[in-house]
Amino acid sequence: MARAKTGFPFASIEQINNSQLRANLKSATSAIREKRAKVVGEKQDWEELRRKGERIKNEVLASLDEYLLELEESVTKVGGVVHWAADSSEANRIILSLIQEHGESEVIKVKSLTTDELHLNEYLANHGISAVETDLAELIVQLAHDKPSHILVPAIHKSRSEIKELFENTISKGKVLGDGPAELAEASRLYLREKFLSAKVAVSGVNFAVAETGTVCIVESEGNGRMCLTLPKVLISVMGIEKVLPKLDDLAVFLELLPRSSTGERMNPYTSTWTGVHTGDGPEEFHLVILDNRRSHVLADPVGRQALRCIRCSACLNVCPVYERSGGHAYGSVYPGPIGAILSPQLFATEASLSLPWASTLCGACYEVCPVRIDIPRVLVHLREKVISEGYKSKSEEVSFGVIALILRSGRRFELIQRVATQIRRPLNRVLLTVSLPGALGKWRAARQVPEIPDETFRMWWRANRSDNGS
Amino acid sequence: MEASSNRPSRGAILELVKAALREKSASHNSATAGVATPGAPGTPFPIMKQLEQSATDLFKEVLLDYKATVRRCEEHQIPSVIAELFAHQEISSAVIPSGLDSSWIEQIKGIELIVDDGFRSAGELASIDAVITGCACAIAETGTLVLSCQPDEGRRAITLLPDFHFCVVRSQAIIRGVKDLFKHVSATNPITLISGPSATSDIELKRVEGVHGPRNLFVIIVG
Amino acid sequence: MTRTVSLFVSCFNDMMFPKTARAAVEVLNKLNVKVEFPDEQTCCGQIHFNTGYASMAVPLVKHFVESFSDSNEVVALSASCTAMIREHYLELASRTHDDELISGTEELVPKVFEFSEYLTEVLGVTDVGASYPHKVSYHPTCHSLRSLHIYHSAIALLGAVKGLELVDLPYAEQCCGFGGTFSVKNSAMSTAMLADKTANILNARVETVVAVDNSCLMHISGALRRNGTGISVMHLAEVLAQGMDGGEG
Repeated sequence: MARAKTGFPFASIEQINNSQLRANLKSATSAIREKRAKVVGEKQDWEELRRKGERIKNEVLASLDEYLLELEESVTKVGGVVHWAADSSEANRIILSLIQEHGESEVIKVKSLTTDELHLNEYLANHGISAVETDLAELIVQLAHDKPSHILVPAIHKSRSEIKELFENTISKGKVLGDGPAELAEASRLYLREKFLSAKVAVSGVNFAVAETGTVCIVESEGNGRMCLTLPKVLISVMGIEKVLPKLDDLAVFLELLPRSSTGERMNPYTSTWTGVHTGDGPEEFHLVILDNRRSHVLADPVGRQALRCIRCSACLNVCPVYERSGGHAYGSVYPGPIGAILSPQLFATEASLSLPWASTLCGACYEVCPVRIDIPRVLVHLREKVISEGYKSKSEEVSFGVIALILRSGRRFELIQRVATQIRRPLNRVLLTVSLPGALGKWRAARQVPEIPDETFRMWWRANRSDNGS
Repeated sequence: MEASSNRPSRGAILELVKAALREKSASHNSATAGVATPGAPGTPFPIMKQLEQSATDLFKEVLLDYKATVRRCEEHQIPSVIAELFAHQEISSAVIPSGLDSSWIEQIKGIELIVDDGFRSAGELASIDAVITGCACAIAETGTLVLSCQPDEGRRAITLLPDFHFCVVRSQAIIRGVKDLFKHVSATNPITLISGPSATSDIELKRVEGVHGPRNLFVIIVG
Repeated sequence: MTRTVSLFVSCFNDMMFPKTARAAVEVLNKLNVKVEFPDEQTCCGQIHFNTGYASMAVPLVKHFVESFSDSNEVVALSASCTAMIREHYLELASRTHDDELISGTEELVPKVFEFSEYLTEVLGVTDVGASYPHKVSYHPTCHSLRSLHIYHSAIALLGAVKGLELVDLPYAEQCCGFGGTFSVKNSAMSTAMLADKTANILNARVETVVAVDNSCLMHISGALRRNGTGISVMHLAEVLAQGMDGGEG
């Protein structure tokens, strides 16, 4: 079968051989794992918290339509305006017209995976509006015309010297920068301060939105979020339908789960909540865009819907041995890593994303660290079955698996195969060990010795030595 | 733009959600599924130490871990502690919320003190060096200051733009964990949770303090 | 009064690693456990199920349940097979709407134990009188570690082996990269993961790597041999059979 040019197996090869990426990923993910282990170890009630998180999210999903209606009512009551977007083009149109209404040609943005999903920045740029990313890593990625490679640390694939050069060619033109991280951060601080003080419109995502009160919450580290949420006149926040929570006390649960799971801290530096519009403090206009974009489709799958519990912490990325060696670009989606492998095929169903359920050994490390207990391995296997049943499969694989199943349905048939193989083991072993082999065997052999067929299988030995007395 | 102009999508989305929920979730896992084996490689070992400390001591320890400066004092010492902290920094101006206890700033010498009237622009606030506030409550376990725009805390912009933030926390207002946060603060106003100075760790994962927001945090614990 | 167990060797142990199964029989016999081998047995179905061909796995589930329908206790020589049975058999059986199969499966699943788990949790034994004076590292396979939670059983059993020096394997918890058909479908990534596992084993400076899954060991050994490291692999059962009277070498 011709090697596919899309999908994870192909896309990962280049990344596996990128030594800068591999080194950065190894050091970053092992550092975060260690930090996470320390702060999780401190929490005596960590497992209980995870179960609470799971339960709250399940409750939300089970009555999602009701909670969305309650949220709309609460937000409207406190002076916010709620918009509903069935898909990404509708969301982009809504956001565009809100910006155009205010006659702005530049907006500032808080990092938001949801807006990445919409390809909002490109859409706005095509309509003459520049959306400036204010999160340091997103700024780096934006200036380099690149794509993020990690949910939390999007510029992890870049080295300091690459960033220094990038800044010298863009935001710090005419200056010579050192390449220490503090100096590079300072360069971005100066550039962005000017933007913060002048911008009229900001666009953000939403970490959590509380139905009971209409309170919206953003969790961040750098303070750029606070700048965007407080200083401009108009704030537009985009949320996937799954981001709603029932009550404020539920929000407290996630404020414990998220920082320890994502950056391995007891608490991230800044968390902001606002409830509608507040006179004399912050934006005069607040718009909440509620987005479906096939989340309802994910919801319809009784096994797959648990992916919607995700709070985008990226703990699964940091613990995944596959992600550690491939980085995010190989997944070809704004949602990479283990969560991406179950969310992207369900949300996007592109040919490349359909390879993602197999981009895993099902090791289960992700399930153990997920703060909302998503059983990622289970969903992966479920999606493998689903994708195959929808026709995306290799005919030759299906046939050979069918033959194997046929043999294994009978002890007698299996034994027959064993007897034949052991009879011809000498030439067969020679072939397996030396001759250039096609297909699966060839791939195995490329990096590993093939085990040899023994002179006698277990059941042959049992029959000859034990089956009479059975002891 | 009128929200009602996408009524069709609103209805459509809600219908899709309702239809999706007709099938019940698939059944469930054992108690140990997805739980890391304690003591196995790569699994965190439970750490016991926090239980013995008082909330105030724990709060101080976590704040120091974040590289904030911490002082403890009695109520009557607040003005002198603040003045002493100011004296050691390069500060020439400070903004205070209108409801702040004015005795707290009486001993500060040689700087321009501005009471926020709610009208100063962001640009003006950005040129002020320091801000002094109280806080609604604080969380010990996570070293978090909880600001909720009360008269002695002020609007959000004043704790965002200056580079020095001095925050007075009464020890009775320190709660142990995050769990009860919303029993101690109302979400009617905007809430800002501050846990250490602003930070980023994007470039090669080195933690860098101070991108936006005050790079210098001083916490004065009273009582 | 001796116990009797039915041995489930697993399709690849039967075919490719009979040594492991023979060692397990020996160890069990030494512990006064009579071993039966229901010879209709073949495969637990995980290869098909995990690759996405669940419908092909269902008849294999049925076959397994029928093969072991007379068993009191089943001892399995593969943690991944045991996990398959424990985690997925009921769901797969229920797809058939065959009440007899469903109740047969419900009855059988709690009676299936992985080998090391059987020794420590059911027999309550950690010292089987084995002797293996070598430097050994234990690789906790993903299913034994995360699905069955039996890490401590293997460690306890290895700890009681006379002369055995157990050396910590760096990054032991990281998957070796086998993952069944993953090793072929994503061969580049599988190789990359295996390279790190090999490097960690070399850094541990041991003579032997031990695990409770021959599938992973086959993958690891494939690289250890290809790279001429001289490091061997052994299933835990084979280690426990060492140093016994008339033991298998």
